[in-house]
Amino acid sequence: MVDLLIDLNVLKTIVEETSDAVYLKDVEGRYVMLNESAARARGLDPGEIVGRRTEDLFPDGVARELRAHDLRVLEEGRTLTFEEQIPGHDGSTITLLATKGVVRNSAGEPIGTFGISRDISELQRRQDDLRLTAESFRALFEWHPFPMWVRDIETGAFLEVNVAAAQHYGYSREEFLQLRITDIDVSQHVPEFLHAPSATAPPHETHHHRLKDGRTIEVQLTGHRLSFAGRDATLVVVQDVSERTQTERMRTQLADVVESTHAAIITTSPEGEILSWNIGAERLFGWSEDEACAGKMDLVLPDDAALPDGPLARAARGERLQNLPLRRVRKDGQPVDLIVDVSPIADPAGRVVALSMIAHDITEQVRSQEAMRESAELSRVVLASLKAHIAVLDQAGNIIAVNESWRSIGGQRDGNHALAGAGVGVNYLGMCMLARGDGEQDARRAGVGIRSVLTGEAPEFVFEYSCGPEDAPCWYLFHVAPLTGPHGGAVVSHIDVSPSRRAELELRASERRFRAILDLAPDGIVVVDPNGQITIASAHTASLFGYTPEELVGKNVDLLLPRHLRGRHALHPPDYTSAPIRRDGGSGFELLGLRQDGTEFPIEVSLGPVDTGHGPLVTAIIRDITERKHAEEMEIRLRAAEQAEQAKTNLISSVSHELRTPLAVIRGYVTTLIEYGQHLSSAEVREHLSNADAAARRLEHLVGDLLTLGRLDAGVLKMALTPESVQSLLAEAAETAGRLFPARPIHLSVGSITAELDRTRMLQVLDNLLENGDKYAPPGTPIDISARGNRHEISISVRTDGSISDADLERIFERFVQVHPDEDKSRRGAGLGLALSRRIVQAHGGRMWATRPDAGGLQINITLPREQPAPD
Amino acid sequence: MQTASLLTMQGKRFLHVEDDGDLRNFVGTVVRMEGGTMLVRENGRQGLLAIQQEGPFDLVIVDLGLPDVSGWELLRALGSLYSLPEDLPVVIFTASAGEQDRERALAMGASDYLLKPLGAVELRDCLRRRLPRLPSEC
Repeated sequence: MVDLLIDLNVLKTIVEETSDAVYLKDVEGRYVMLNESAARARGLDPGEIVGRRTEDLFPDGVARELRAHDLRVLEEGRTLTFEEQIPGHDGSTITLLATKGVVRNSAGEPIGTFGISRDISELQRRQDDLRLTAESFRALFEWHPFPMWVRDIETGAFLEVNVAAAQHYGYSREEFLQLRITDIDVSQHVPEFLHAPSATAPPHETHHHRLKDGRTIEVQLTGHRLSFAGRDATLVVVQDVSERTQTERMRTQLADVVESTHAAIITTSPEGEILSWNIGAERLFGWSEDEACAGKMDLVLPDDAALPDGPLARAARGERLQNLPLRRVRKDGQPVDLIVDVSPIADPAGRVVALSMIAHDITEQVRSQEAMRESAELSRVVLASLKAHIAVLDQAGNIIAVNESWRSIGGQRDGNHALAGAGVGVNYLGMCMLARGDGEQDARRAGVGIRSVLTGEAPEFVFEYSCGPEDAPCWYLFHVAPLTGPHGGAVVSHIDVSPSRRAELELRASERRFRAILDLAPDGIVVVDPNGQITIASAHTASLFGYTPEELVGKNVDLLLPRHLRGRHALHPPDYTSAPIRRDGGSGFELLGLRQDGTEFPIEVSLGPVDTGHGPLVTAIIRDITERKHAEEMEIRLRAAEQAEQAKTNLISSVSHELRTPLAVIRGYVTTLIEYGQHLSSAEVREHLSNADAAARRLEHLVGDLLTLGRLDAGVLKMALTPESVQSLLAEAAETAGRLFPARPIHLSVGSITAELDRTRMLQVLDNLLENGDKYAPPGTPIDISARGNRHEISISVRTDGSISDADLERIFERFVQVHPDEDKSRRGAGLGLALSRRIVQAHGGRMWATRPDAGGLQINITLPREQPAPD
Repeated sequence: MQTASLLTMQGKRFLHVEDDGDLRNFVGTVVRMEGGTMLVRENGRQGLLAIQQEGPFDLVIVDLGLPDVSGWELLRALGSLYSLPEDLPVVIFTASAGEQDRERALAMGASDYLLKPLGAVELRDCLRRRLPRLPSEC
């Protein structure tokens, strides 16, 4: 009876007093019975739940999962353990370790299921907190022993993958990033949670993943939602459970013949003598009920449990003890980690007659927690080695953890540093908000940032501040990132950026110095990148072209050049990057520059390559050479004027020379006659006078030619144009020539052509050409005259034998030039004939030039327009 | 002038290098009338040949503007053959009126520079004056 009583009390106590939720459901999932703990979890009384179904108590997804577990137990007819997540009545998620089994009637038929669930949320949470999600812990991701990756939620692409994942799956990191999830995951479906926005996904989803070498592994995936490089992404942590699953399968097969809950249920006397030992206890400890009952409590509780303050004594006094962590040794010598509840069992009189103990094997959890602790240790080491000052704040802004770097400064009670006095336990948010004195504005700004991250208003917060003495300031980057665990909080980092900031300031100062030099330089300076873009323009360059330096930077250097020079001038990139040549000042080249107002001006450009860290640049030194050009032009003009003056002097000298010669002849003869006339024969006297007369006529002719040339040059001599027959004109000239030099054959070839011309002047030209021809051609050779015409012009050519050099073809038209002077000067002209003839032809609007025809000799060509343009 | 008129060209040998036939005629007539002997050449090359092969001459008259070998080259060649103007009087007779030409010619050893046009009397007096005097005449 007492035994029975004890049995009943045992059961009642176990069910009612345990912190585990215990419940019975029928095959339809209706609650038949449940204890206080189970009801409390739903925030209800047991009476309110009995008779209702799983679906009535839980949201759809949860109910489906719970029910699925029940059905699986019923179907397989054995006891199984699940991790179940249910919403708590306060809205939080509760993770349960649930042991479920089949309840049978006396006939052995299943009539329902029982379940014992333990809230392991706290454990889970601790693990979550240890999981570091803040950006600052990126290094942890990289070197975490578990394979991990980050996938873009929208595109599904792998954004990042850690070393462990790449190694585990056998890919290089680069290969991995190119993969699609379906290359790896050969499960029937890709689970919804990988895309779901929940911060924490249910763990222990089993997937089949394929490695690069083709092997398939079983993995459990855990997903976390995070923002990665501005993308919504999921962080997936992979646990390869291939081996564990195989072991589990084997154990499940064994379990087919073992009926038991997984929990060990033991009853003892108040003194610790074992009274009952269920199959769970047998499996947990390895001893059979018989072996155990013969033994003592110390199988379960340590020796000191029986001491006055030990759990045994306390339970015997009626105290209920929960969650005692214990490490015991199994029969096989293996250590086993337990959580033990000890409850006193009283008789109706209230006397403690027995103790019940429920022991749970948490070896697995302890082991994973240890792994986590190792991981946490790794995190701590990484954190400690980081130079940044890092602190973890809780939701209220209290510092709950700091790294070594933070501790070294934050630990000091006083000091000038922004972190001084910010040790663990201090409310850092408050400290920032209430800061006074130097840097209080920065501190307040930091405080506002921390608050915005803690409240979730901002995904992160960054700003830079400076501190320290003015002559040697330090710069810090202040960064706040949220902790995504269920308790919230944030990671605050102060990162010393002084070196890079100082370098930047130094660069700026150097740039300022450089710019000052640039702007003081008398020449314009621009720096051009390989694309022709201006990266630096000195103030002088800008004003040279009518811009401000800011307007020029970023523009193409072509902007500074006239349209026709763009893209193919020496400043154009291909010209200098392919073969950069230093062109120093003075040896530059000249171009035209284009001002903003559209005016062009001459510039001289000297190029020099600049090798920078940003690729090859070219410095162009630009000098406005308007003044110099002007001076050069003046010089050219001056020189031209001097040359003209010289030509005039030469002409006068030539004219003087040519006039003196016939005058000398005249005067010579005349004075000889005066002085010696009486001694000369009359024939000699006549010859002298006749020669003097001939010289006088040459002089007259020469003066006439000079006068005509002068009037043609001055434009005062007009051609008296009339329509004339070219045939008759040439015939008249040939006839005159035939009379003057009858020994010279003249061949005339001309059709019936007419043209508007000054007959007298054109005859003068032809007479001149024929006279020259007779003078210079070898005796007996003919002079060929021909003429032809088209609609617009007529051409006349006079060809003679003889030779002439190329250089002389044009020189013969110069004044006072004689190429083949007659041996006897008295027969020679003054060298004005061809010059005068050309001017007459030009006065007709025609052209006159000399060639050497294929047949040899010299040919003078004349073209005349058939009709003269109407005078202006 | 009085002194010059007393001098005679009798028996003197003259060379005239001039491309203008009328002027050769004029100078030749004056020399002949004064009793001298005149050899004429039409260009510089022939003039040079005459000096080397037909000399010696008592006086050489040279036009500057000659075809081929110019009067200037002829003057330079004479300067290399004789000690000018002591050993041989060279008289330039030219239409080149430039003062520079005159100075240059005298510097090169010419005894006189006569500019065309020139009257028969001026020519005669000049030639007489420039003829080397015999010791008895001094």
